[in-house]
Amino acid sequence: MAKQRRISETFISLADTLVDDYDLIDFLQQLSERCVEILGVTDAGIVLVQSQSLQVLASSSERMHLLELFELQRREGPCQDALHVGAAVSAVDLEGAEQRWPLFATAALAAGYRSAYAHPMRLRDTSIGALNLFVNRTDGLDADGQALAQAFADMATIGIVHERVVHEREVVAEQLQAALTSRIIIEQAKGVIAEQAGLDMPEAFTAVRTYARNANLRLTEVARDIVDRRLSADQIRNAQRVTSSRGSRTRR
Amino acid sequence: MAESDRMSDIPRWLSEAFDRLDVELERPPGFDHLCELCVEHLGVDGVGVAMIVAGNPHGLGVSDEWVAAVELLQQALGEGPCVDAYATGRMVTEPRLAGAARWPMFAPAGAEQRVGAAFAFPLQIGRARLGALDLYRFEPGPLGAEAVHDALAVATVVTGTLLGAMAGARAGTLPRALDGLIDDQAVVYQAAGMVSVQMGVSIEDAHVALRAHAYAQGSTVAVVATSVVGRWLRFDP
Repeated sequence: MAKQRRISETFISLADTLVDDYDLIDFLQQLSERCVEILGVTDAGIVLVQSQSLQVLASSSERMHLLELFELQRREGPCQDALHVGAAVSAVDLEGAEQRWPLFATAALAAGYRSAYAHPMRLRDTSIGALNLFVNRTDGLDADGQALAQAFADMATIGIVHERVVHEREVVAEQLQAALTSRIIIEQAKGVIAEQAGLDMPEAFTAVRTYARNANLRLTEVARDIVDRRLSADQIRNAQRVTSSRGSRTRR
Repeated sequence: MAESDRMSDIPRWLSEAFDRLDVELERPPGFDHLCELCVEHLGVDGVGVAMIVAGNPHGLGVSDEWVAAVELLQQALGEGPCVDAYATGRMVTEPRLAGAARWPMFAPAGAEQRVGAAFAFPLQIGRARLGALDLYRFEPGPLGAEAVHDALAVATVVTGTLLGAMAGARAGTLPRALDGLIDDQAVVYQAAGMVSVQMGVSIEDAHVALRAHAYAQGSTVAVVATSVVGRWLRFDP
């Protein structure tokens, strides 16, 4: 069945995107479009909870009225309710929903939508966002459709969490590389000073460290300057001479 | 045939090795045993793990001494599967090393070391890369699908172990375990500093000179570096 295959392909493409050139926004955009195609809804969008408000991450069309609806939803609507309750919320006929959501229902109807569905993106005990669906017919999504919509919302959650995890680990990996690189540069600087000044390694290190302390500079910075030849052993020696001739106080 | 724990999709031999890996905070993580297990389970003859920092390789483990020589070869020549995997962040497979056009120097040199096929997997997370996991086989031929899958799992485990060792540290400082990684190679970096002054070249070129000399002498970079720091070997312009 073609539809079943499209559903499977959507799940498979989720796995495909979990690689090093993964683009979260691109993935969510594709997911929104697949929702429209597979669920037979008119429009779909994905919003993320950010501080006290909602941010639109993806939507199936750029139509302004759709974006405005999202805007309104920040104050009221099925999306707000779904996030509040932690469960899917549906409005099978927006014409009967003016009391429930006066602002949202009016705007949605004016835009041509007759039903709306919101599925929260659940992560443990909280909702990190929602998948919103709008249809130009009443009762736009049957029970099977709603179950599938929740599965798509879950996929969006996985995509977002994955991106956060990868990002956190990237940061750790970069910290690791940076810290190792700093250590390496200090060793290289010792070698440069040792050769320029005819010192052994411990003496070279003492000279570099003393210079850094007296000049109130970070050791890594001084080491980098030495390795890049912006700072020479002569300059370090001269600085030491100036310091001693001024009779600097001994540090404890 | 490697047994697979299908629940977690990591082969049992690997998850057991990982449990025993027990990263000690005082010493650099040692992956020799893991490399030996890879030889046993992945259908290859030699395995090496290397971290690459500022373009410099740090061997973290080898299954055999000859593997260390093959890894050194790649760094000395500046080409090979390990180099490519780290540079591109993509898996590298060369089922027939002899005559491989992409490595005009490494291919014949590797063949001289009896390497018939070579495969490398980057150690990376997202866009950040740490090094590579390298597999070598005497007999040419592809790496089986299951071995590829398991090798990817090994790369993930090694990367995770390294990141785990880092994660507990204060920002900008190295945990003792990884500090030791540099300590072991300190003499190489010091020698590069000295050689850069002796030859009047950049630090990178000094490193290349050290490796090239080691390779030409059939020695190791560490030995050459010790000679330089001990001042009984000089590099002239």
